[in-house]
Amino acid sequence: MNKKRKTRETSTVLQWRRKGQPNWLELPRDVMSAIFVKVGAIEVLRNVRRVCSEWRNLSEDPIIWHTIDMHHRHGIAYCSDDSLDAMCRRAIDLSSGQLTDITVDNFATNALLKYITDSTSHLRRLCLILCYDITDMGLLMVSDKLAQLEELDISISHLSEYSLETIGQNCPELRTLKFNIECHRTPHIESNKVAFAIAETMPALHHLQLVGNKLTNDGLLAILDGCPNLESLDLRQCFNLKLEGKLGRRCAEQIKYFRHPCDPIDDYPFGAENVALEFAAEEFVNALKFLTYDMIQW
Amino acid sequence: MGSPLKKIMLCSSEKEIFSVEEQVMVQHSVIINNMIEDGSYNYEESKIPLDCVDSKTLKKVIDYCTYHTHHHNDNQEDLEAWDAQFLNVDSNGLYDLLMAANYLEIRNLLDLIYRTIKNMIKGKKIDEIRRILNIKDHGFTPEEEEQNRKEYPHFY
Repeated sequence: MNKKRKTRETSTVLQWRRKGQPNWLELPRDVMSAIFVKVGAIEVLRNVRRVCSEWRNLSEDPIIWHTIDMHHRHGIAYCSDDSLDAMCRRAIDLSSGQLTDITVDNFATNALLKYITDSTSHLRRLCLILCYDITDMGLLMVSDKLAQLEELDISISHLSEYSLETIGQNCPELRTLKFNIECHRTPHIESNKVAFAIAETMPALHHLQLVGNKLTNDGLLAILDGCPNLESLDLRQCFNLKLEGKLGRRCAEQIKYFRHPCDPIDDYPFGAENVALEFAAEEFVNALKFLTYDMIQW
Repeated sequence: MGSPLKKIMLCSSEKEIFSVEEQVMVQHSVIINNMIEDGSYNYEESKIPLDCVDSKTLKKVIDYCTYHTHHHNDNQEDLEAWDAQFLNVDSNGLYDLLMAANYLEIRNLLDLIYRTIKNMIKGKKIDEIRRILNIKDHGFTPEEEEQNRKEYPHFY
């Protein structure tokens, strides 16, 4: 608190624009770091920190690395998986043990996950998007470092109910779980393994998203019994559920924000079409990898 | 929460006095809210001196707070359109607004300005960023320049 006031005073006394051109390099440190956070990890590391010495210096302040988002990179020029991995590790190093929130996507590996969890004991939010290379064993190996985890998002992966059991047993603070799979894949298979793992090991959940899950009414009943604190439950695209009767009424009574299997998925980024697009983009990028470095540069 | 009828006085760097509904400023500015709450503002005599905010900027800040107080129930799209129009200023104007919002701790305005500056930087080449923000001297030591070259291959 004191620190903040001090910064503001400095900003008003010393750094006010007198006449003429504003000097953007004299912006208060807390202002500029808030902007860096919005610009995002990749561009800060690749561009912003090369603009000038002041920004290079500021980019090494752990305060801007509490949250690292390596997923939302639309409009950013192509990066190979290796350079994304290197940048992510650099960002983690710069967080100096203060990392609390990280989002990674398909470049992530078990080794990177270990690097993340070795760096911090305060991780509260972990978001793994389209991380096909992260395995149940990989998550198991780091689960003892996730004791503070409050939110876990695993959207589209090869992870199974074993990972959920491990997480449930090791993360007593977990309040939000997203465990989504691609829509319209293997639609007729029924399985309650994921639902039972959640019901048995995550009694403290408040928010649960299971888009495209194969659970049946038995699985849902187990979740409603096992997670009495649930406020929101998103079961879109879970077409094995039959919610016309008693169970549907119970959902309506027990859950404040309920998304029905047939609700629209336009705000869900991994609908069949979007995933197909993302794959197409990935294939294009893979094709680019065969070009020589010089060709990519120009 | 201030009473809607009460007015407070703000004084710009040019010593121009602006009379504003208390509620408008209390809702938006953490600093003014604190002043009112701790009783350090005297309604009969006090003028809040804002020596580092010029009249033009202060008028805009008051416009922003007033609009958002009276239109907070409008739909998101309309508000965003108004905000975009509001921030259609040159970089000097944006800089002055940023300093004023930072000084008065007007969080939603600060966030709006941060996003605008982010968009000025994001997706731009290093030289473009320098040009947009008028950064003439990068100030790197030869060692830093060497490290910059080594760190990651850049594609611009």
